[in-house]
Amino acid sequence: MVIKSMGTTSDIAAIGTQHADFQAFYREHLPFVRLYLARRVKDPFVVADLTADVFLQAIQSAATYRRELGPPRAWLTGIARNIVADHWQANAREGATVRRLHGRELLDEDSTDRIVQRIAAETQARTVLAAIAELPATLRSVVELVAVDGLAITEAAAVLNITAGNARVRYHRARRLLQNVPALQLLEVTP
Amino acid sequence: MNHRPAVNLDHFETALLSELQVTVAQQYSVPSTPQVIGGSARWQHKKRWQVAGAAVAAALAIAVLVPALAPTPAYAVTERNGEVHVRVNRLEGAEALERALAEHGIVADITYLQPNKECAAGRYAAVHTPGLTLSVAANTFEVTIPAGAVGEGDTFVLDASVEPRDDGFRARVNFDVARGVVAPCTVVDGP
Repeated sequence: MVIKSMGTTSDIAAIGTQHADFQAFYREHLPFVRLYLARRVKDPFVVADLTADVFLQAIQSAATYRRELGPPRAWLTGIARNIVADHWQANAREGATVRRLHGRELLDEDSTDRIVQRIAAETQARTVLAAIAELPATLRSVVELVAVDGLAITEAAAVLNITAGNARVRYHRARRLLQNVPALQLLEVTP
Repeated sequence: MNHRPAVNLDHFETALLSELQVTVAQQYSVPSTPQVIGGSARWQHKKRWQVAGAAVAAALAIAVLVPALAPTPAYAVTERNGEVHVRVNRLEGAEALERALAEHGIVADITYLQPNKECAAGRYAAVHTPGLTLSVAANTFEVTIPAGAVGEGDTFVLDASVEPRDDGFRARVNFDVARGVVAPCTVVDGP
């Protein structure tokens, strides 16, 4: 079985209204979203909620997607970043996030176990995230996306709305600052 | 457009896809081609999208429909200001539905088919009928027949089938106002 790969502007616009296009998009990007959230959230029920939030936001934002926002994965990563940030901000102010779709209500025991296993498997990624937490935000964001989430520099630049050159400079600056941190094995990035 | 292997979805991810497809359906406008929609029976929203009979060749819509498990009536016919609404919850009681429509002055030919079956084309001559619409939800569909749309010598024709899919169920609904004789349905394999 094969599915369509969502790669063009028109494809992204279509995921908001066309079921076949959304299904292809969902199936293609779900593995990335699974890991993105498992690296940042330890509660499987919250992971389920946020997974729903990410794709729901993608559906609702699809019509506004423009090529300048970067490739689809970068665009979706930007959505995921905002969703996770909103979650932590709501937690910090002890407020409840108003959501239209409660992902946790769809969980069964096996699915919950899979998320728990995924969270456990991402321990190393969370160690890296903790290690870079003290970096300036501008540097940390690039390292996070490239070294933890595996985005290309150009994708990270698109997520952060900066130039690829700027992202590259930030990444190398972060590497220098982190060279004595044993938990980090930052990838060499070719300009 | 390239192709990638499909990702395996667990129970949660399959259910979430179905729920999200409903949101996609809500954002859906009049389609230019028949649509395939995944879904689940859990959704309670009444309307997802509408298909204008005259806007789609053969007035064919393909969408989600899950036979209701609850003991709800198989259908309901209501009339408001001369406009007749036919809600179908389960593909049962075609003849009873025909009789119910007759009470509203509408001659009807209703056919419920086995999965993956349809009526052979050419069994009637369709009349262009502005306002004849189909609304599809996850577990029901509703046809709106405008006041006076089914005149003397006309017949409201509807045939439908439901088949299970790996992401839910697929319902196929064909509806029209026919002028003159409507031939019996010759059942053929669906596309």
